[in-house]
Amino acid sequence: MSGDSPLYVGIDLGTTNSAVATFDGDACTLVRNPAGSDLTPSVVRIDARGNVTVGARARRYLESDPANTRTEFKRLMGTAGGLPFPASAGIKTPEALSAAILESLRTDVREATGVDAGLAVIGVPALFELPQNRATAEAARLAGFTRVELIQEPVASALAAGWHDSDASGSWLVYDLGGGTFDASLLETRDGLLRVVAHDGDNFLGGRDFDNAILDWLLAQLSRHHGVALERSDPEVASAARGLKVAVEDARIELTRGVRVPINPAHPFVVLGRELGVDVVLDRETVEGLCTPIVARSIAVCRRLVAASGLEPGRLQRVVLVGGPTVMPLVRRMVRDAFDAPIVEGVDPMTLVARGAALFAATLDLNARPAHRSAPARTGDVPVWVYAPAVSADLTPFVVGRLADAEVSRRPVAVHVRRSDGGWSSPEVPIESDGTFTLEVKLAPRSTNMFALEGRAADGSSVSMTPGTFSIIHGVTIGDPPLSRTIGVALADDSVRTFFERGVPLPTTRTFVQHTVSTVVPGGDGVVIKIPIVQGEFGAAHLCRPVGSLEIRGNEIQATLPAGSTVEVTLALDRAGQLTARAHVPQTGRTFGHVEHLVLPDTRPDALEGFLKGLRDRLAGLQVSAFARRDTNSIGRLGDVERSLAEAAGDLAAAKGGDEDASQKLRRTLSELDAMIGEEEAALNWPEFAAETRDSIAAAASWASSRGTDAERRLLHEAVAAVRSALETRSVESVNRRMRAVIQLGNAAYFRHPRAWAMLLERAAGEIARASDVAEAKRIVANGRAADNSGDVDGVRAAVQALWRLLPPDVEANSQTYDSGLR
Amino acid sequence: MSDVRSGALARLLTNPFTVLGLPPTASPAEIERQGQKLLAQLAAGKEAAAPYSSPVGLGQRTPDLVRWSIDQLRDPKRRFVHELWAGLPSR
Repeated sequence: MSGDSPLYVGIDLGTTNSAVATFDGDACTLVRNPAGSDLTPSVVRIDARGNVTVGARARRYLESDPANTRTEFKRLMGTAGGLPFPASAGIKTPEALSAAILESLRTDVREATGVDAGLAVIGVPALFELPQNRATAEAARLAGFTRVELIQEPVASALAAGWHDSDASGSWLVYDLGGGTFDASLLETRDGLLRVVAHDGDNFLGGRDFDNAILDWLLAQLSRHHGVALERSDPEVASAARGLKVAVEDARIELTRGVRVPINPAHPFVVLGRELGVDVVLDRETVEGLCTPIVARSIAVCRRLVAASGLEPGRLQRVVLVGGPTVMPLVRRMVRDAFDAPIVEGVDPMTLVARGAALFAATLDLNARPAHRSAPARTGDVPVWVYAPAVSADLTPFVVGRLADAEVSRRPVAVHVRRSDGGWSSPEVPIESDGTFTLEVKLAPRSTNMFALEGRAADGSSVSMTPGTFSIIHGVTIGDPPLSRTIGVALADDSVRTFFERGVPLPTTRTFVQHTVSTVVPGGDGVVIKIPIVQGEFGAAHLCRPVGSLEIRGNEIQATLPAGSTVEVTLALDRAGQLTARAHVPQTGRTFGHVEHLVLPDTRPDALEGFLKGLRDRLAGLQVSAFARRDTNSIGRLGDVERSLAEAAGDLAAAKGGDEDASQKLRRTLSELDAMIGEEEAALNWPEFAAETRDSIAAAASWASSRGTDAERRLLHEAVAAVRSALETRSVESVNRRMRAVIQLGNAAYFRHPRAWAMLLERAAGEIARASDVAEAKRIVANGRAADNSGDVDGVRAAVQALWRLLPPDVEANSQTYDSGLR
Repeated sequence: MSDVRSGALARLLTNPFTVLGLPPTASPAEIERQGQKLLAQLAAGKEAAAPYSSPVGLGQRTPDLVRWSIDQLRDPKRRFVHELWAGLPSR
């Protein structure tokens, strides 16, 4: 690697192990740590004097000093809680612990390359929620990185696996089973472009679950041998058992090759005041029996993903396995049996994410080598901005330039480029009146292409430009990553104003006009308008997860804002799904951008226990009803919920033992079960719901047939077919999602009716007794009718919209919807 | 409902083929190339790259709109729907 070549840094900040790789435009290199390993254990220890050790040196203390040695903190990123280090009487956030790992990796890069890298790409699970992404970026900042981009781990893996295979095409499944998270991604390669079709996963499924299952089995064995009750719900047992976990993990890894291994803890197992001998042999058959249900869960996620993407079974071209646990023969066998597709061999599943992240840094031109970024300009050179793709799958990409200074003394009138290997040069292209030029360059395949840029003045003389060179790497490029979960703003009636549907390409920005629910008076530092931002696929806001809140305080506004005032809300997501938001209130002329970034919700075990009990009660009621109706479909679905609740009870026991990670997992599981039970409750009213849906379809079809275009009628036909297919699944949420297109098309036709707004005016006029200002509502109705009489359609529409703003949202709904101040 | 109506107009104004200035028969490679070219021109501030004409009037290209258009046409199912809309006669 020469001192002139670029340096792109990619990091896999893993739950169990972390890795860092660099890419110089030609080759990807893993950076070794001082112990000579490609992998740095994600373990941090802080001793009584406050000394921090990380990696393999810290991991040695997991058994002898578990209280002051922490691992798997990635699973707690974005949560409020800190982790105690009793010896130093300190508490560290998961971000601070991750920063310690990142700092160590950054030091390794400096040792290996001499570059103090401030720019890097870090992999994150595709299903990380916004607070978790934000926490990762914060950890990087704490570690001294000045700019960090995040990439979804499965995308990074696929990029690394497919980098030298740009001719391949077809669909891939990336099965990424990490220490603590599971991601499944369906990707497609075509013409050198790698595109994420969809992904799914489980933020709380990983190799750690294998170890927990084996640990529970081991504790049961020891209980029997020694005649004591060893339950992880007992905090003392839970603490002592952490010391056994390293031995369990080592035994499991050893069993990927062997068939029987003894479990050998490095230190005596002392619990409940007794030292208990651990004389247990673990065999592969036992491990496979314990781990099969966990692998089956991951495969169920993959099947759901493939089915949802409409890919026919057998059309999968290949499967990429990522993550340490995938070296287990059981995992490889079950995945191969489940999908009739070859597993990509010859790639190291432990380091793919770091390699892919480094390659992605190249596509972003995130060069960490400072000298490369600021080549000195010579006097007289004409400054120019060059927009060339850092990486291109296209062998003849476009390069666009613009003169940076229009007033230069010798303004070039044309430019041309030469490839530095002498194999190609462009024809001359003119510089246009706005100072820009556009030209096509030709790349040598599968290499880094350097180009020299030169101008020509009107008198025919040559003009030097700065920068005088640029480079383009020919390789696989990736399409914009899709958003993994829908994001919107919770409104006061418990609905969600969807800003970004799941799957939209990132980055993205969108603005919607909303209106305040109630009159707001200035003064005080309390929050007077709250705009909750939620993430999830549900139409009801309270079922989605709050991930941020835009808040306007009383002392930030100068005058009273009446109910119905306009608020323009803009949400923006960057490429890694990090959120910024702002609200513009035209009446005040001010823009507010303070977002309270929420952490993942609190998870006290007693609250979770109450939540679990409530779900059990609701489930019992539903089961009685389903049996009475002999509804076998519903009985089956409720059986799934019942099994999940039973598993959740195991996590509750671990949560009570002080396992914060189990608490977070339980919180998520219960939220999902809450939604599933809600769906079943809604299904009880299925006949009415289905009838309403059919009425809505009939209305849309009627409007489309009388006022729609041919294209709209064709599209409606497709949309109705999709709804009918969803009706067969009896899923309220699925029907509601598909009905959006039907309603849109029906409305498009409806609003071609010349009296559409007049009909809506009369409907709203019938509700004015419920308006927040009845006198004002009556005045608006009178104005609207006058406008109608004079044929002023815009006036009628304005009246209807003003009336809607005065009608109240459902009070009960507002209490559930995170106190949204908008409608 | 007014949002929905503007959504119908938007179907025509922001049809990805219209935004990219390509016919509905454009190949995937042509779509990628045209998208890359427009994004670079917009980043460079090339004035002529922003305006485009549609059946319902002039539109303004933004980087977000161009990237969204490319993404829409990468998916065969979504592309099919946009081909239908792009084939509508001007009203």
